[in-house]
Amino acid sequence: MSWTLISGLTMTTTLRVRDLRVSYGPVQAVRSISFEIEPKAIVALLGANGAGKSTTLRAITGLQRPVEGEIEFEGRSISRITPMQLARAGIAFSPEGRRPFGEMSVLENLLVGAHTRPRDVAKKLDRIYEYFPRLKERSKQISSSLSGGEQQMLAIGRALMAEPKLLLLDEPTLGLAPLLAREIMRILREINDEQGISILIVEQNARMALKLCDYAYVLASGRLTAEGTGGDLLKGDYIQNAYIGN
Amino acid sequence: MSELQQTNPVPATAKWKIPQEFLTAKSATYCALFLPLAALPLLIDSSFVYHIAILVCLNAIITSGLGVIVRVDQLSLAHGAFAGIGAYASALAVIKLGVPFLLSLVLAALAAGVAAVLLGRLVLGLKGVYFVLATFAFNELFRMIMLLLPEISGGTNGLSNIPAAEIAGLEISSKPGFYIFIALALAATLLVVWMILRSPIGRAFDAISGNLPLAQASGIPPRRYQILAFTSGSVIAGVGGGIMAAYVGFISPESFTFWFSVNTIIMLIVGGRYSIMGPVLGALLLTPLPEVLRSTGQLQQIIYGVCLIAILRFMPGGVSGLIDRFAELMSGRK
Repeated sequence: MSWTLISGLTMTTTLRVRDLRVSYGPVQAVRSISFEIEPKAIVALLGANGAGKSTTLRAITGLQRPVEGEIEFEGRSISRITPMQLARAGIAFSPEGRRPFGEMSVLENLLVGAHTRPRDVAKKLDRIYEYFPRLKERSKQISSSLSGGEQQMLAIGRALMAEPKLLLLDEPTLGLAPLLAREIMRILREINDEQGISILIVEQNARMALKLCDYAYVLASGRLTAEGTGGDLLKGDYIQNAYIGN
Repeated sequence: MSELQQTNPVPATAKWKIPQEFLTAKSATYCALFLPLAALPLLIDSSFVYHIAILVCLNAIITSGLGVIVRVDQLSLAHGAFAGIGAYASALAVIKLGVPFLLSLVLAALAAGVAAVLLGRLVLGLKGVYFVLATFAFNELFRMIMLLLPEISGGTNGLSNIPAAEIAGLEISSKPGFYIFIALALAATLLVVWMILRSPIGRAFDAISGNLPLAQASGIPPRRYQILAFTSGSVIAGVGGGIMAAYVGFISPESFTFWFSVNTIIMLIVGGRYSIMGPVLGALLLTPLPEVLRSTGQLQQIIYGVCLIAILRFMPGGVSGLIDRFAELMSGRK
């Protein structure tokens, strides 16, 4: 879908998923879901364990071939994209959560992130170090020695080095202390505000994600059960239903 | 010498940032260790010491090539075959076509490179042990083809009377002359390997072996870089083979068996596969060992085996891992 802004520019939907169906053999993990991410939006995909959130992400990133459905990124089909082509297309993603290139230093990790866009590396590094001063302090340190929170910062920083238009995050606050989790959410909002990067965040931590996002979709047993702005969903009992069942 | 001088100078482009990265405690330790050692044969001036020193340099060059391949998490058992391809290419070029020595080394590199690209495209899709087995089979295949083509390879008799190396009309068949040449060749090899591994290409190698899914998601095509690593490593083996042919003056298919590859692997692991200097250390320790242990007769193999197991057990990073730790202590970092 495209619509015309006041300025007259036509903008296409950043990500559009239509009738997506994904199975692992006979097991249907995702049963026909559709959703959209508008440019510069933060969208949350929520649901309990096994609801199909990660499978949806695997389908978008080309790690799992969908049985049916269409995935479009900026108007072009990416249903058959390989993980390798994602970065070039403008989608940043860490396939194994926040796990870095363990044997490399923080700086080297960030430099690998810039593999597809090696221009202006110094400028990009400065900006990432502004968001995450902790990474600057540890730039020479081996990344496997970082704490969970620092590794998450590194994963986001590495993603930004590729100058993505869409950032996919799988459980970025998993296992982090609440204070640190909130800090990361705050920085994500800042990155979104300043750089206009769309963010799709997959979370079990619904409350925190709803406070951050512009719009959210709730998944249960591979189907969409609710959608709405973060504020609306926080008020209703959709979330309880999705997690506990009704 | 003109070839060497072209590869030796440090490129002036700011991209490589050589002064900063080169003046570390680690490189200082290695320089303090190796520069006097490299000068030692010249001081002792014994034919036997020169011979050993030349073999050390030769093994170090060939093992450096394997070190590049191992960076992308692939273990090649065909390294002997690539040294052999280089050796035959350069020896045949010198004998049959009268090509000058340095040009014959370029041909050796080309031959090994073409063979590596072809084999790499074929087998680099294989994972782990299957890749190792495929390269093992290639090594045997090379040996058998050479045995079956006596008009090219000399068959079991091999190629003898390979002319002594000659650079710009200057014969370097004398041991000191050849030692200086091969020491410079080793230095050039190490510099090239260092430049590759410090560049974005080397970072891509490390990314692939460190976390393959993340490397792919970062837009690094693993196959292309694996072929690149396999080819550059095999090219280095080919050049080493060419130098070997000129030094020894005789090659046969039996010079490049499976055991050649295995010995290279052992030198790499013992020296340290994570460090550029690892292959040099491995060659330095293991090349003279059979000579030193020769007087022990039958015990030789046993002592050799025990040394290997001890190193593998107590120094997983190899000898260079130990030196790196020492250097870090000296520079006061933890």
